[in-house]
Amino acid sequence: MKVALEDNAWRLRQAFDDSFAAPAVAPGEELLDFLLVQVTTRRFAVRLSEIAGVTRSQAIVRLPTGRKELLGLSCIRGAIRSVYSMAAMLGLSETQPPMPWLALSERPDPVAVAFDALDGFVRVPRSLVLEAARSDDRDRLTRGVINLDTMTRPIVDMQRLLDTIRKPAGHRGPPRSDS
Amino acid sequence: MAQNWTVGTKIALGFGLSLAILAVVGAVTYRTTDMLIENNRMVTHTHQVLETIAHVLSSLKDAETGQRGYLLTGEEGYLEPWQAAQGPIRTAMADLRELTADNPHQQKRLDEALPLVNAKLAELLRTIELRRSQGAEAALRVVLSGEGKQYMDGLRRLCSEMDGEERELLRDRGVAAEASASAAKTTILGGVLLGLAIMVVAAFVITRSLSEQLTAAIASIRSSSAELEAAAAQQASGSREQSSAAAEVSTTIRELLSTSKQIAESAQRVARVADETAAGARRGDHTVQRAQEAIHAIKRQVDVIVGHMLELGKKSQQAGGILEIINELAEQTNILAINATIEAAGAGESGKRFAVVADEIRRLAERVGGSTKEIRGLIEDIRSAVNSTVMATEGGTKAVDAGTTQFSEVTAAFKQILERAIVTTDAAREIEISTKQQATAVEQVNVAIANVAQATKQTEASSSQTLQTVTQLTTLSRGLLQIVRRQAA
Repeated sequence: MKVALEDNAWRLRQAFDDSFAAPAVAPGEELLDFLLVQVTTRRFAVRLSEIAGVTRSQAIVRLPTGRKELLGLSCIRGAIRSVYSMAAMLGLSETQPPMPWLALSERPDPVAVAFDALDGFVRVPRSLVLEAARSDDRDRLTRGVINLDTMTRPIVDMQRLLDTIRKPAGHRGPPRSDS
Repeated sequence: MAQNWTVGTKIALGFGLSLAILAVVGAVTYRTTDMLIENNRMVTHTHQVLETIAHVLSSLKDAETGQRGYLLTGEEGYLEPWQAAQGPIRTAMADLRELTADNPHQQKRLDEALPLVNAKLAELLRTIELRRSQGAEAALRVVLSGEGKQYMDGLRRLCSEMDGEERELLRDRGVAAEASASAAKTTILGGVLLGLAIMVVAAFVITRSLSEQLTAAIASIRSSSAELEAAAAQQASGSREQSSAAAEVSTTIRELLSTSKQIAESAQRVARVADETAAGARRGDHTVQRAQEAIHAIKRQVDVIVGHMLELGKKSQQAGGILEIINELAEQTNILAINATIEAAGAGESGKRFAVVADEIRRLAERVGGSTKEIRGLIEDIRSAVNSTVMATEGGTKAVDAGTTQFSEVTAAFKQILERAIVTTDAAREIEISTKQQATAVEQVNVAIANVAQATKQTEASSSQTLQTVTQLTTLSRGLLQIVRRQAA
């Protein structure tokens, strides 16, 4: 077992060193970065380019509001942010789970969207991403899918989700997703 | 009630009645004879009185005869009758006094007669003296005076009265004697006849009763003889069977004796085996004690192993905690790398190199995360192995404890085996001794059975003899019955 661990450490060290020894990535097919997230029991992908960061959830102060998706306020990176439930936004659940992860957005307002689990980070060629045109249906919060080796994940349209958050209450129909 | 009398009672009653009659007849006869004898005695007495009276007169006449001869002759020789009559006269007078003591009349007459006798004798003596001294004439004058005659007449008169009275008594006593003799004859004859009649009746009754009872008794004897014959036959058969059984028992006892000897030999072998078992139990006890000491040493070593394993578990847990920190660091690094990638993308062209670094850091964090997962798995495997080892060791400890307990039980069992072996040895020796005693007893029983067989044979012979006797008794009862029936007929 000691030998296996030493081998593992050696491989890690070697891979880290090799990364600096290797040349820069050659221009070729465009690569896209995605966060793999889990909302309730369902798995989605989030474009890394559509968020300003990801962090562990901090203490959330609940607000007296009629919006079910608004979980409350939390102080993240020195700024007060509204925290919304991705599950509630996607119409998956009305419950208030712990939702330990937050996807951050800075523009136009500092907002955080809470989800249940962070499965990881992937960088995939564009060919594995099945893009879909943005429909006029403002309630559709997913757009396209990403084909991974194990499964296909819907891609959450963070722009439209943030637009939906900014949309005044009562002007929005029931949320829908492609899944 | 007479029907219930036994033969003895009837015979006793018949003979008793006859004896009573005989006694009555005898008593009456005795009484009558006694009276007759008394009458005869009184008659004899009367004759004696008469003779004495006659003797007194005769003696006086002899004395007077002698006196007169002497007076006539003067010869002394003539005085002999006078001299000889002196004593008898006085004796006869005394006898008369005594013989008539029960008769006052005669006593009164004797009172009158005695002076006359004395006076007569005095007159005779005086005349004799006068004849000697003065001669015949002096004496003759006295005689001629009539004095002597007067005395004699008075005496004759008194004697005649006494004689008359005695004869009267003699006649009366003769009549009484005849009456007594007649009564005795009548009593004897009547008693004899009555006794004969009663004896005839009693003999008849007794004979008849005896005949009936003897007939019944003979019938009973015959029945009993038949039963006795059957019983004797059965007894003879039983004796033969008993003799056969005694022979079988004797054979069985010989076999039993042989078996007892075999048991004694087996008991000896058991005693030897028990001794060997006791020795083996002692060796086993020592071995078990050594094994128990070894098990205690193993238990101590196992406790040490358990301690080390628990320490290893704690260390693994601590390593897991550290790994959790590493994992968390890797995760934070991964998050930082992702955020760095986002920031690098936001920085445009100038952030591309930083994006590469961030990407490598992210990959490294991912690899670290993967490695921490592997390490966690390994640690979990270690913890699981430690837990399994601890569990197994605890199981081993428990097994050792159980083994220790079992060894204690084995030690106790060996001790018990040793005790039981000793008890078995003692019991086997007791069995051996008892079996030998039993063999001796069986031999004695065999001798006793032989005696019983001999006695059985004797019993069989006796039964045959009894059977023969019973047959004779049956024949005898048959003959007795014929005799009784012949007599009854």
